[in-house]
Amino acid sequence: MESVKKDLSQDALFDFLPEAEKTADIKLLKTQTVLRRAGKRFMQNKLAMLGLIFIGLIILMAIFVPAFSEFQYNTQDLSNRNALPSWTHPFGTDKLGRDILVRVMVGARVSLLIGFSAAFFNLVIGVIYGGISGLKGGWVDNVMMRIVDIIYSVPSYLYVILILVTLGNGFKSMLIAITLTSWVGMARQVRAQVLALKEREYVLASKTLGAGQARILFKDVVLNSLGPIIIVMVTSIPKAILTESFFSFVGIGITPPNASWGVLANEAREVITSYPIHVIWPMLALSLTVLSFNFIGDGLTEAFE
Amino acid sequence: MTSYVLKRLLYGMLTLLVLATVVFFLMKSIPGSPFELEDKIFPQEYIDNLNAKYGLDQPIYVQYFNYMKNALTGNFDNSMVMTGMSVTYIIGRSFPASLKLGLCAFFFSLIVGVALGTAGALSKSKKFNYVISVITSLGISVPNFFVAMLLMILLGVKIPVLPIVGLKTPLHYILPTLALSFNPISMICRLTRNSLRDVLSQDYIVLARSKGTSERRIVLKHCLKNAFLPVLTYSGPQFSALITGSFVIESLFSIPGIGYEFVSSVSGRDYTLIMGLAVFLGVIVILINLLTDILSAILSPQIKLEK
Amino acid sequence: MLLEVNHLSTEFKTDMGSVQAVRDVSFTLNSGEVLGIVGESGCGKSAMMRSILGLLSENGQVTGGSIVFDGQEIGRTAFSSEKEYTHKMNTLRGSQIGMVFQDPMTFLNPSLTIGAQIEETILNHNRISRQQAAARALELLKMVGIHDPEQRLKQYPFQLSGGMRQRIIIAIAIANEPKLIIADEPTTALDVTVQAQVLNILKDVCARLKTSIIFITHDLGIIAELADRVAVMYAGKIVEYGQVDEIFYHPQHPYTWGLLQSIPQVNGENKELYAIPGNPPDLHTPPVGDAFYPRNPYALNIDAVLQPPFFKVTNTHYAATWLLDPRAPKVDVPEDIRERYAKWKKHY
Repeated sequence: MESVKKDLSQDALFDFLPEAEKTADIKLLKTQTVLRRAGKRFMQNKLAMLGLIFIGLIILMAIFVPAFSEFQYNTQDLSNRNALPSWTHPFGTDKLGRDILVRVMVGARVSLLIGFSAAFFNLVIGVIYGGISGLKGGWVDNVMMRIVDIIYSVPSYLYVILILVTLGNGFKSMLIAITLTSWVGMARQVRAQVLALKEREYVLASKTLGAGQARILFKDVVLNSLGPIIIVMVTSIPKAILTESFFSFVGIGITPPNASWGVLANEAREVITSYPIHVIWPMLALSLTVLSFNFIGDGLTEAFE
Repeated sequence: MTSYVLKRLLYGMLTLLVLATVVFFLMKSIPGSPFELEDKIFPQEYIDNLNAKYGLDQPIYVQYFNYMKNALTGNFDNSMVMTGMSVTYIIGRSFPASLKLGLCAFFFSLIVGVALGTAGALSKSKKFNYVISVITSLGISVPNFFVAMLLMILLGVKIPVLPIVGLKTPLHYILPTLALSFNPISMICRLTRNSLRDVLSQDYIVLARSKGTSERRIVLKHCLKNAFLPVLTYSGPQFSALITGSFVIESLFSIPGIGYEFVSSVSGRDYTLIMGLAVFLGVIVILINLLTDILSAILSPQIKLEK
Repeated sequence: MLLEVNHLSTEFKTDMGSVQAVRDVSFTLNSGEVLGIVGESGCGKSAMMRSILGLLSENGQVTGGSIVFDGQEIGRTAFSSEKEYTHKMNTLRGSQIGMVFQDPMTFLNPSLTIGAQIEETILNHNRISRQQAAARALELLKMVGIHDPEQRLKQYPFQLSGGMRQRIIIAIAIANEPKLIIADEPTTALDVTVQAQVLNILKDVCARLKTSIIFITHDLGIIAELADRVAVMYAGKIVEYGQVDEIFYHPQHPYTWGLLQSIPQVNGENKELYAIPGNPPDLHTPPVGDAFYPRNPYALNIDAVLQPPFFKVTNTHYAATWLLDPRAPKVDVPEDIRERYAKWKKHY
């Protein structure tokens, strides 16, 4: 276009510009969908990508290392106790001669499973509870939110302890305890988004828009409210993993012979002065995993801002 | 203001009622009597006696009524495991240690967190802010018992300069305080930084500048009070969490605090102690929530002046 | 000459690159004069004014040009360091130049009393006691027509209506009897009934103190009532400026035509309200030629490739449109504008 115009002869310069050429080289404000823009911004966030890569890596290792290792997570080798890292045992062995790498990766299975399941159940409960509360409105909403307030104002560790006492130790109790105390945040967020959607729907309905345009706008609005929900879901994963590790570490969460990162750290406590490395491996795995999830959460928050 | 406080108070009491009820029925839902242990070493008669002593032979609503009456008057049953000790006595014995350590950790976190967050928000240096971001990311990701263990290995064992067991001397406080503070420092720092930045970008700051107000005065007079509100809302629950004892840190440093007591009551299935401790902690948490609400009301004229 | 702005340019950094909000703007302001600046929202009016006082947000930056106020150079580029600049500006802001902002709801600090916020600007520039400042604040509140001023001084912004808050902001702006007041859409956020009151207060007070005003608005009605001279802004540039009558009755730029056509006529027939078609351009990549050409029904080929210079209409009236070039074809001026021309001819 540009070149054509430049070729205009001197007197044609002052002719009227044809209507059709007016928009030709005008860059309209870029119209991108919310999801695309958020996705692009997220991809540009180096720390979030690093977190994503690490989580991918640890998931793969959690699946394949125990599966293909020559050692079981509970194979004892009393002749080879507290060994330093070597080619056969890259992380060394523990006080019973068990391979620490395999144990850390079995621990990863438990910890990650807790994290992902908690996030999933939070979403399900939060969407149902928050959705009903937001859609019904009125006194139903009021009562449901007061209940949430009450649950929220008591620290969650109290509930977790009580539930663990009631149901006994173990993976299932731990998961139930974590889910029952952490869904309230999601319920609040879902309710807030439902209310925002209701408002927007009302505004949209009051405007006279073409059907196509309305649909596009509504899609945008729904995607917009998905952002905060995804963020709450992602940030609930590291919280659940940390909670599990705290309780397992003091011996009232998941208990041996099951191996979560908290359990491994608890077992290594006795030898902390002589073999600190036994504590370091599972704790490093735990810290880096939580850090990665937090980076992803921060990245999402920025992307959806 | 008065009606606001009354409303908060009412919510607090309601929360406490719900918590006490939940605790009671959860404990009662555990099948069998707490005295019927796996190995059934006691004769049935003896168990019946014990049940009668703790009122466990009465119908559940009577038990609930008695329990609520006792909870209201601050009287709890004796511990089921540590014979002869009342729950009140155990709380009185263990709470001071948790309280002292918690106060140290809280004020250390608040001072360092607010200072660091303010510095970050005011500094235009990208490097400085990057360092803060890295440290606070670690602070909210690394569990405090790992920090504690690293500190123990480093300053207690490799270079043994600090004691790592108990709370006997002021020196004993250093490592547990540091371990407890890393996470709240990071949270408070982030909150302060974000909140201060947010306030600095508000329209009323532009108006203050248009009056020729100096930057220093803008920060001190126009920002800090408004920026501190979110920090306060976070600090309240954090304060109660710290003074009611971190069971992980107390267990690691062998500090005979209330968190330590709680974990052992759980391991020992000491139901009366669990119930007593849960209600006690609930009261503390709710009281401090109430105080936080009142404090933020004082800071915000809109709530303060409400009829 | 009170204020002289030459070739001012301002940019904002965003995710998608930098936005050239103000592009090479020049204008002057005489003592005691009221200059109106009109344009659609987003055309850079506010950014221009904030550039003059150094009140841009963190991501905004003055990239060039000079600003001479009362004989002193006060452009950011004339100072070697940010600190030096801020120091100089702090002696001018609030004392020589006052500013009135758009939204009275957000421009007052919610946690400080009205009294404290007015006294601050007095104490910033005068060595007087708090009591004296409080007395002055009381006087100011009376001046902007606030009833029960003693009571109001102790109140917080949330206890006041929007119109009252805007009066407080005006009181702050005039507290030190500045030479210049910059008013950035001061009535836009107010109810229609309150608008006129606030406007009258501003007008009266400034007339009494012989203060010059730069009045930014998208409302041509207010400009007609208030301004001595008018500058029309589009896409970060001034496209036409002149005496208020010249702009209203003898406009030359097609954009000004569009703006005038979109004023609802009180005594006119029930015509459908005119709206300029299309949207302002994206200033990340401003158009090469005249920024208005895509929306201009009278666009020439040259508009798309070359920015028009200012053509002189009279000694006081200039417009940047190729239509004023001798080589340009005659155009059919819209009917409304032709009616305006007719009125103009009758008077001059």
